[in-house]
Amino acid sequence: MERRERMKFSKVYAMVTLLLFSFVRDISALSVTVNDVECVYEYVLYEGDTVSGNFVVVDHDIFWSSDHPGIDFIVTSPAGNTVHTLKGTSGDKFEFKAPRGGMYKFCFHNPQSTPETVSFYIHVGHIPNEHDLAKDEHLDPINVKIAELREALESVTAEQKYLKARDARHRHTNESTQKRVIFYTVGEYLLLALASGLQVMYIRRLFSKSVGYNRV
Amino acid sequence: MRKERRKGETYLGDGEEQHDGTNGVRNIRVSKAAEERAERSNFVLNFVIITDLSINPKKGGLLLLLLSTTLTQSVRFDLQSAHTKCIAEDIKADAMTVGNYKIINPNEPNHPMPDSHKITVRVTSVKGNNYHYADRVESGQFAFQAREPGDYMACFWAADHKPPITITVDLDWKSGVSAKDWSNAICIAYAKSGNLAGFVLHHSQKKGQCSVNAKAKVMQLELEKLFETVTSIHDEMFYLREREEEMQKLNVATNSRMGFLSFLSLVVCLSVAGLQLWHLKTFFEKKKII
Repeated sequence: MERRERMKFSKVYAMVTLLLFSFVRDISALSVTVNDVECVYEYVLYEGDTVSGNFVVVDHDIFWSSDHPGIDFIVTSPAGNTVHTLKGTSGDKFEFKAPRGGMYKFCFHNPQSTPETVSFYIHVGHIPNEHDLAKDEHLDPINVKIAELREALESVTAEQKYLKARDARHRHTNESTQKRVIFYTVGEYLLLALASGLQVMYIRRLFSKSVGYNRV
Repeated sequence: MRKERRKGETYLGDGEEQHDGTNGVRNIRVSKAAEERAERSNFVLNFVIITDLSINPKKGGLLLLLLSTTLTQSVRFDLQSAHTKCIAEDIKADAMTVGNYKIINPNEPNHPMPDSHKITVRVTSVKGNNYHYADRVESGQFAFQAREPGDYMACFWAADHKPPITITVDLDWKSGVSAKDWSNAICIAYAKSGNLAGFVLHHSQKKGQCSVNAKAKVMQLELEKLFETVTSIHDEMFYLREREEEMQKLNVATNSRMGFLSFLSLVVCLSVAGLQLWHLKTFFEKKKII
């Protein structure tokens, strides 16, 4: 029973990794550590393509410090103007229509000095329209529908990747909370015992013979 | 072993090249427009055979061949000299990962790459096992099977150079596994195209000539891939559900632990105060003050 369960579990794992396997114009959800600025380039083939994606700041080891204020996210078109901006977030989704084809730059800015790990996913989706249909005689209207269906499924996949990254971040927060609870509570006990011990010692010293007999 | 992946060949992991045992390639240009578009976009649609030890209880872990098509579009980033950049991904156990990296030539397309543009690459697992290491290369590829689930990291390091230079690295990282037996399905097709329409046909392994019914076969492929996508989405939902359950258990445990520790702190406080009082009382009685 246990062996079958274990096999089923690994089969689920193996099937789940299908999700990470890209079919069309896709990269897996990658993580990168942002010290100051990290830029990633992605090529957009056609003008009018929908570029969608998400990113989540999966920070770790937040034991001592408070929560990170968030990072900035800037998308620059090949012409140099900013297409999309998100400031001070710890994770968000984005979607925009590419005004022209070319190499787009996706940059993460970290305002603080502590390095943060960002898990991002960018997807460039293209649906052939009537113009493409007219140009290419082998393109069927059904291909348009298939492309639309594929894009819709890609958006579901992207949403799942976002949820997974947020879940990872949530897990870090929870584990940090557990560690903090234990550490701070035990520290509180020790400090309490120490404070009372010091009090007792002080009072004893006040009443000891060596420090003046009747001064108190 | 560094080898450029030539079109028309299938490759198996770590730079090995293996022909699919057929007689060769027959080019069939279906549309010139598609060809032109591919030239402009300069990426290829090719088939990758990835083997995976799929856990199939019936077949008892036989090697099943995956055949799938990917349009490989990659992520690019800049690397300053004497700096390290790492890209990581959370991979499940028994997942196959394939990566291709190359340095973009800053010179004219026909001129050779400057000698200073070389990077050192290392791919490591969660525990620190080394899966791939290449020293001072311009391009390469790696493939591995993830033994344990966790973050797998590909780190790139550019050697120091007197005027600091910036190297653009192009990384194509694909991970995931689909163990499906396609061998009885359709011809293995290899295409250089930006859309579904154009492709090149190989001879099939099992049958003789492939029919040139390109569109229907491609559509069949596409629909089967969509079905696989839906299945994988479904499975990912199960996975997310499990994770949420684990997290809920963790939260409940934290909650009860905090309640217990607060109560304990009250007990500790009262006992410490009581000890203090008792100790001082006996002390004063000993000193004959009380």
